[in-house]
Formats: sequence, C-alpha cells, structure tokens
Amino acid sequence: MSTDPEPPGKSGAGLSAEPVLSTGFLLGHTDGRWGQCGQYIIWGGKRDDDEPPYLMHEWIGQGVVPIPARRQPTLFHRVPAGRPYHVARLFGFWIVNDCDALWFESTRGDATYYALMIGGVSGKPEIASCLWVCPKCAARFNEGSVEVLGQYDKFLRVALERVRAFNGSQALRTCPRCAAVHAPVYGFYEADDTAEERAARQAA
Amino acid sequence: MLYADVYVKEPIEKVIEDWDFLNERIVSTFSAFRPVGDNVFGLHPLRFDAAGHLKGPLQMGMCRRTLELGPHGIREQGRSRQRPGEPAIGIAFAGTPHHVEGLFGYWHINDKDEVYISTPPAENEPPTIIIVMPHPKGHETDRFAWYCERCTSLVFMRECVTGRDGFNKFWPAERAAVREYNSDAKNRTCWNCGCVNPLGYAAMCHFDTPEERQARMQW
Repeated sequence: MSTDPEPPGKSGAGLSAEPVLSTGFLLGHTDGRWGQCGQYIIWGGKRDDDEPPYLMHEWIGQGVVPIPARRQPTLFHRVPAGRPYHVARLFGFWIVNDCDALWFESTRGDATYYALMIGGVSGKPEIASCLWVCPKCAARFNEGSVEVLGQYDKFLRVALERVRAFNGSQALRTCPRCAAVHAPVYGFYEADDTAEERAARQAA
Repeated sequence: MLYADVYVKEPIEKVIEDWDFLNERIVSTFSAFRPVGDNVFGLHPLRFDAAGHLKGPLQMGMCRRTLELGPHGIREQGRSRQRPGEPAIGIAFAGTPHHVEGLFGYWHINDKDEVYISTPPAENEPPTIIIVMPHPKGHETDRFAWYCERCTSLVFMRECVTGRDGFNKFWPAERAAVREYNSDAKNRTCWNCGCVNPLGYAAMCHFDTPEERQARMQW
C-alpha cells in the first residue's frame, strides 16, 4: 500500500502508514479458511490454470444450473437466501443460507481468483443447511440444519461429519425418490480430506 | 460433471434473472448503487479514453486515496492494498467515517460494513470496483459529515435514515447536505480552530457547480 505522507487537503492531519480500522486481503494470498469480516463471512481462494476450476451450481427446483464462468473474465453472481448452491471441487455438499450468498470469480493471468461472501442481514447467517441433490432426478435429500450465528466454522465441522456419515452409508446416499445412489463426496477444507474424499474431490 | 444429467436445458438467462451483475447488459444499472435482495451493490467498471486516462471526474476517485477517520486521526484505508494482476477484497467497518478523494466530498458514515472487491484490468475487460453493503434497515442511517482538515473536529453533519426511508432517498439527501454545507462559510468554519474548510461535492459529478468541480480536484 501507499505510505505517501502527504496529508489530505491542504493542511490536514498526517497519515499513518498502516491501516487499523479497515482490513483487506488479496484473493491469491488467503489461508483458504472462512473468516468473519464485520457483517459478512468471506472465503477467498485461487486456482492456477493447470488445476480444474471451481464451478458454482444452483438448484432451482426443476434441476441444477451451472453458473457459466467463461463468457467473460469476471463474474459476480448472487445466490438468493434459501436457494441451495454447491461449488464443485470446493465442497461436496449443497448449502442453504438464510441470507444471500455472493460468488465472485475473475481470471487474471494464469490463475482464477474466487470469493464467496455470505451476509447482508443483521443477525444472519443464523441457520445454515447442508443437503445433497440427486444427480439422476435432482431431488433434494438428507437435509440437516445448524445454528451458525457467529460461528460459521461450526457449520463446516458439522458438514464434514455429515459428509463422512453420507460416504459411510449407502442408505444415506440413496435418493428417496428414484433410488439412485449418490457418489462419495468431500468436505470444505481439502487438508482434512480422507483418501476417499480426496478421490471424490478430484473426480468432481 | 456429477450433475450433468440434471442440468436445466434452458439458457441461464431464462431461469436466473440477472445471473451476472457484471454482464454489460445490466452493469450500468448498478452505477449509482442498487438494492438487490439483502444487499446494496455498486459496480464500477473503469473506462479509459483514447489517451489511456480514466474517463470523467467520477472515475477519478477510483484511482485516488480512500481515507478513514479513527481515534488517532486520518488513515489510508486497507483496501488500497493491491497487487498488480490480482483481485483484492477490502472491508470498511460500520461507523467509520470514510472519504474517497475526488469521488465524494464529505465523510460518509454508515451503519453497515462496506466490502470492496477490486479487479485489475485484463484483456478486453476494464478494471472494476464492486462495492457491497448490507441493505439498511429500521433506524439505520447514512451520514454526510465534514471534519476540519486541520484539527479533525466535526464541523457539520446531516443524516438520512435510509433504513426507514429507503435507499432511494440517499442521493437526494446527499446532494441536499452538500448544498447546505456549501451555502454558508459558517458551516465550513471549524468551531475549534477557526479553519475555513474547502467546499464539499456530491458523488454525482454531473451536478457539480463550477465551485464544486474545483473542490473535487482539491480533496
């Protein structure tokens, strides 16, 4: 950042070199964890060109809509509160939030940068749900909700427990409508993957 | 892809309205901020003229400093951190007075956090600033304040209860506050140190008076 010591205006107070009131980060230099940033919960990340990209999906009742990423280099997409979404290769389940989610992706140079933001309503997200969508008939199933107010990481821990239960039980992976068996899935943080989850992430 | 068998066959435009806010068909509808769902969005692709200069005074603010006022005085905001070629996110926290040089000539204080996403230019795509803030509700406000440039004392402030009155009242309230501030030198004179501060200016530069345009170039 600039450390220009010139004051604002003609004779204003001096500038400090380091900001303390606001904060910021580069999308290519995050730790890959979700963070509470004021009234939002934000995740940021990056994929190099030699890695398969993340792909946002939405469930809209009659089926699944992939959010096409390549029509222009930068995309900014809103997922309304209450609508299930899933980002292939980032997390292997579907999320429903009780407030809007915003998906940003931008290809620059040899990488694509991503951000996922949740928020916009005081006191939310309060509840987050984890579920799966049948890849044969698009039915929602195996849905569970978690109170997440001020502790979104709790949702990701619970989601990982549900991922492991899901992978461990063919009954849980079986669609109640069409009886198709869902493939194994993966949690949010790649570092926590078991061998089966890693394989599922790579196959996505 | 796992869900390819259940992909909706219709074009995305037919099943998800305004699915990409940066689409050239709709991006201009966000230039003066637009509430959608839980948030208010401002999207600003930066345009350049043939000489490679940013077009217009409004754009000028995008490449100048963003300042914030805290307990220890004025600081440059963290969102100024930008690495060439890499998008960045900045968060300005609710209640903190902030001012963008050349973009709006007052200190904005709101009750909601503001998130900024800035993307550097790419081939066939200009650099873009995305501003996201929660939709104000109830008694939440936007304030237009002027602090003394010499001693940072508050010299003048007006308030718009955007939570109650709606975000569409923001711009008329902003312009009225600027015009009232500029109408009398007493409003600009610091009660503490006597400094006569420069004129204010609104974000919509096409309404500038000549004096406001001059002030826009000044701070």
